[in-house]
Amino acid sequence: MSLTLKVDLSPPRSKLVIEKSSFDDEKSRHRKNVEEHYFNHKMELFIPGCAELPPSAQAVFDMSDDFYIIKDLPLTELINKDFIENFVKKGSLYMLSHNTHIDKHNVYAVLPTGKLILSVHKDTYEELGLVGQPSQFNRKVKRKFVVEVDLTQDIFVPGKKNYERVKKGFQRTELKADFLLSWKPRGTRQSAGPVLSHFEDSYRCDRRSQVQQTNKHTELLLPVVNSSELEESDDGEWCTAREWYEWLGAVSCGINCNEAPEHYISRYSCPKPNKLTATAVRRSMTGFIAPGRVWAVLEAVRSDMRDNQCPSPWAALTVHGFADSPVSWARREHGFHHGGENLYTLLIFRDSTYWLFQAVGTNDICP
Amino acid sequence: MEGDQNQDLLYQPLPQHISEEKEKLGLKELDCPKDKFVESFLERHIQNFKPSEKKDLKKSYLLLDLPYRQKPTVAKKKTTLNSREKREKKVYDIPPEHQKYSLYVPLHKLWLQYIKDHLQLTPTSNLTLLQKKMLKADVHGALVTVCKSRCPAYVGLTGIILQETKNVFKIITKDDKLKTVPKANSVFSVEFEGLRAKIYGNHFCMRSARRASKKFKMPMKNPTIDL
Amino acid sequence: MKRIVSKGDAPYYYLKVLLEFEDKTMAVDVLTFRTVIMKAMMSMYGEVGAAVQIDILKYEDKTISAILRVAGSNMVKLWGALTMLSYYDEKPCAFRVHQVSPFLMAFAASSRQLLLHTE
Repeated sequence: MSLTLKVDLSPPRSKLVIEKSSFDDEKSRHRKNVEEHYFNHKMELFIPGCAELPPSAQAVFDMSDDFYIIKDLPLTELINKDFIENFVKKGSLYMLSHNTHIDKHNVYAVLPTGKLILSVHKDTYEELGLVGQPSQFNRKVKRKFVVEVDLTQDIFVPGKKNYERVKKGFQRTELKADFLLSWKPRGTRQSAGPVLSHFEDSYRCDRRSQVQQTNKHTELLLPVVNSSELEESDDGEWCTAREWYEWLGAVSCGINCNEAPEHYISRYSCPKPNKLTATAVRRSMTGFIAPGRVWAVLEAVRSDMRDNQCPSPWAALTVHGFADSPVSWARREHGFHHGGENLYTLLIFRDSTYWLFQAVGTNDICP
Repeated sequence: MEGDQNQDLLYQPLPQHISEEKEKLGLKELDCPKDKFVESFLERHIQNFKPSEKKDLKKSYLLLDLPYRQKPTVAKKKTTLNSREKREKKVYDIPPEHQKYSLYVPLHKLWLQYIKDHLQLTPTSNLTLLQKKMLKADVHGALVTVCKSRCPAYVGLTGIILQETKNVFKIITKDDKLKTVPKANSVFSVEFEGLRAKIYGNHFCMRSARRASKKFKMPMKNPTIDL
Repeated sequence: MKRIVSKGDAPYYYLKVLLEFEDKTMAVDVLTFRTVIMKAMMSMYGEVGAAVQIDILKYEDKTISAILRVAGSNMVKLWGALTMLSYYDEKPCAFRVHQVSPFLMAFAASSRQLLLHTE
């Protein structure tokens, strides 16, 4: 009697969306894509053919953009009336719980639309008493639940049933976490100072600046791409979009793709056809970045290309999201599984067209 | 054949050892025919024996060899109502006039007294013993809160237990609302005398009368109390 | 406006691994590293497994860590083989797989390593 063991050797599913469009097209969704990716961890700008960043882009990177970290903030503070009136409703508030892994712990986030998202464990959900949905991933075993509280609703005020129920739930479970906070007041050029003073009296707050890094490349091989063709060419005149994306990833990780190493070690080299460029610059910013800053960089690069300040044929802007964020784009649920990646890259061409790569992991909804 | 044998047994002559002692026992041979003897026997022993009854007696024969069939006993009429009648007559329903929290506060005070006596609370009482006694205690009148539940709508409900059935607690809240909370998949907390008891509803799904006599065993297979 | 959505199996999978020896002073060069991986695949899947195409895209001598590339269909095999390796050349060792992703770009940032402490 022999036993046959059936092993599933297929890799986990992942999603990559490649979009080709023009900035001038009315239906172009590039703005929506940038602004709805709320929690950004790292932003990287890669410009081949330049030794330094063009002036407008440089100016945007140099602008100080700090974020705050608040330690041990209980969730009852997030439904505080003053907090909602002064900050949630008067600008874009981005808050994400720090050092909480989405597959292990409870994760809390405040979106700029005024929604408080709680991704909680089954035990916490049963004690919290607020109605939510089970997580969309791993539906058979309901281990995680997503609860949404709309802070901007008119009826969400102290004294009303809904508010009191939420408050009692938070008090009963005593939920608290460290939060990363970024606030962009609407309209006036106000600084984000008031938010800090709101919390400073009772909780430990700290101000952090984004970590910036510049890398310069010399004698780099660039794959040749045709802005109007994503797929493979018949004569081998240009590289496919996917090959280009892999190459850019290699450059970002510091992998040398110029010389082909011995076959035994690696068979990867820069995709053909390729061209040699003398210099290239890569500038990155790491921390807790608001989408507004990403949009500013994008606009700066575009204006530099229009003004001929930037001689290169294209520029690439990559934005990495937080692996532990409960949402990827807008309100699409995000999970970790093996990698927790939710990142996008904009390949900006001189003729005002672009390629958008959106990469998400297994436990994600296709953007 | 057996019937003949039985008949033989019935109509056999007297055994030998008795027939020998006939004079001593005072047994005489029958000197008249059998039916005449029966008539005279009946006349002597029945009061006011009428000749017409003789005819009736003649008709009714007592058959000794066949077994006597017992008449079926009439079932005693049930004095309790079945559940359909209970629901129709609304025996266990609490009418709206009685759904006022203030009416049941004295009941709660009574329950506190009861639980104090039942558990014999002292500052040094052993908690495990208390737990065992608590399992058998009656909860009618206890102030209970739902602290955990698989359905989030039940969490946070606080009130006095008015009725306990097999699967459900009927609780009256401070807002004079009668809430029916299922015991399953919920954890209730009862507070008294500075102690807080947690009742895991999943293990409490039985009638209160039965619970008093049931022995709760520690589950060896599934020690988790996951809802 | 054109849109290509590729769901399902990615063509290549990337792994960020670290090889840890019990003897911390051991020096491993890239050729030895590749041989260790091949031995791991051989012991688990035999000759066919050892012939699987694995690329070492980046190798660091000091930390003995590398970024590997393997075809999507072989990713589970490679990960399993690396996990089960406990000895190389009679020296105890272990592979630590730090990150796995179908996108090489995902290794450029790791938000879980952003640890901010307030004093």
